[in-house]
Amino acid sequence: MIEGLLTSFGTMLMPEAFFFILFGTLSGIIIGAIPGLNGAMLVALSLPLTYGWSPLNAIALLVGQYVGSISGGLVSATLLNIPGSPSSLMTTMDAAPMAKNGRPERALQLGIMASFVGGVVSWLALVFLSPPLARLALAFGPHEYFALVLAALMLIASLSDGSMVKALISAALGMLAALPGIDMITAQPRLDFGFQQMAAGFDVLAVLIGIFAITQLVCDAGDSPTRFERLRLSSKRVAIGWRDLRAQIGNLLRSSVIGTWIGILPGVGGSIGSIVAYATAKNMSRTPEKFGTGCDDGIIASESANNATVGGALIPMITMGIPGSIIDVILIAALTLHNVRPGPLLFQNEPAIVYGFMSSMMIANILMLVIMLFGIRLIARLIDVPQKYLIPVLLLLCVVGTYAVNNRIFDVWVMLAFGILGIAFRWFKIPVAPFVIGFILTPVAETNLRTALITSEDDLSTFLTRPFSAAFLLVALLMLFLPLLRRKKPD
Amino acid sequence: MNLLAKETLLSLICFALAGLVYSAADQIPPSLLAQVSAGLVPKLLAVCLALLAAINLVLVVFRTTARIDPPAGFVNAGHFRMLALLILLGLFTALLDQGLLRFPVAALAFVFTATLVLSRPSWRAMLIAAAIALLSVGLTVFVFTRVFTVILP
Repeated sequence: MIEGLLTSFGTMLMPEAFFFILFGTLSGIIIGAIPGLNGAMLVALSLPLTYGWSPLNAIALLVGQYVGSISGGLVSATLLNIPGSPSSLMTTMDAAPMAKNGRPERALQLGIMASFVGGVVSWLALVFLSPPLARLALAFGPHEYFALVLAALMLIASLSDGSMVKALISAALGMLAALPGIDMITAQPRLDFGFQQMAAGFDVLAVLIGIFAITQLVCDAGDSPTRFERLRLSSKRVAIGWRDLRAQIGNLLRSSVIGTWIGILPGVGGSIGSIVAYATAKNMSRTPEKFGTGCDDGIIASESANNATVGGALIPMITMGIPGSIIDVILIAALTLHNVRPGPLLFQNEPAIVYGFMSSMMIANILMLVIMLFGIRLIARLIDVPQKYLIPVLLLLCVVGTYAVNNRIFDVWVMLAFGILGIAFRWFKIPVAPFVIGFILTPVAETNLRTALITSEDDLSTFLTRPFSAAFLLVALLMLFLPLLRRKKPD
Repeated sequence: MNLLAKETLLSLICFALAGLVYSAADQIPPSLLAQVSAGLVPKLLAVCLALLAAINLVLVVFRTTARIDPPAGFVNAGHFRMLALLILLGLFTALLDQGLLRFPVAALAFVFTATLVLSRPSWRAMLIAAAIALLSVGLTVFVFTRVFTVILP
């Protein structure tokens, strides 16, 4: 494994791949720093560009954007008191007060260092946990895979914001959206409602760009065009010292481990990771009253945890094909676009892809550290660009990017329809994460369910007699009833 | 629109969609290749969706705050901008679909108008919108046709 990883580092440090990681990280930081725009939108928008590239170059760009966008949110959280991305929500609690107290440089540097440490800890987990998990997943048959997907969907539904019923409605709608087209087992056309273009189903990219990018951009256009007052950075250089980091080492490691663990849970992203790590740091602190007033502990807990979710989320994606976060859904779409199927066989069939993910994540982390430490003043200026000039250009790119994949205007209509669906989801307060995870996992779930039924001659009890399958179904059941238990015990 | 009306609308949409999917899946003929037909999963999901919609409706009916009307002034300038952008996007796509305008012309018109919709009307805003439209469309056409060799409509 070490040899494969070193070879991959060598490949990713070659000028071409390195440029893509650098460009990806930089664009991710900038988009993450602009309030309203987020990493999922950027990765979805960049996906069509990678169509003709080698899979490794595509991974280099997209992983760079993933790491960069999670880290970039720190800038506006500190200087504008607005989280640039959902994952930096908790960072605003302490970084903004610290900046207001005249120490914005310190808040940013603490956040950058914590982001880097979080990234490194989760990278170690990715490198050392993925191979044994993939070996375990090799023992899974269709029964286990179907039960695993069901458990993942229940988990994301139970952890979504708001009503669980709405989260399940969202998952069901996502699963239905994945069904039109030619049936994979019997090759029969279904649910095309007479539209010839729907014989191939909805294009994954059109759906993702619609539901992430179009929804986000149109909703941003609806927000008040008020200009936010940004805090200015002073011209004198301030650097945090070794003593600052040594005092926070326990908090750094604990929050990074929490972030990694939460990242592994399907569909749960950086925002929940940082909330849990922040709450834990506050509970374990000797001075919890300082949280929310601009203390180091809060910034470090939030930023190390949200960056740690990146590596954590890549673990189930690489080993089992189950997305750990919304951006991982788009990464799965990217791999599919390049004829690569994520899952346990990836380690055997495409080790270069697996190690490509690992090495590009580490390089992106180092680049993020360097770019943000030395380029923070320039990035801070970029968040002043008014959104009214960005939104029309980004909408144009959505149209061209969606069209470019299959050269079909029908896909642009699909993108627009799913963009409107995403706006309707916001209006009805329906979470979008279960929808996209349901959409991306349904082909896997359906094929495995039907294969399992065919091999067991329609005997449903085989799902319960196989230990892993039964365990996953039990988890799914527990997740379904978890909200009821929580309601009975409000404390 | 109060919460009850909103949730009822959501449940009705879900019922309609579930019914549509179920009837379409029911018309799929059984296959000779596999006992489990291609309509099984769509039908299962349609039933699940209808059940969830019913649960959602029942839950909201029992919520006491559901009938309280939200404050007036729901439709504001923000909603107008959103609607205007969606209409512009739809028109842009329709123009390309019908082949009425070539991509660069339609894209220029789209970016220019969308930037104006989001800005306060003035001569300066028009100049900036024109500059953004020219620059962004020029770059997009160059990158997609020359670098990625995509044939734009």
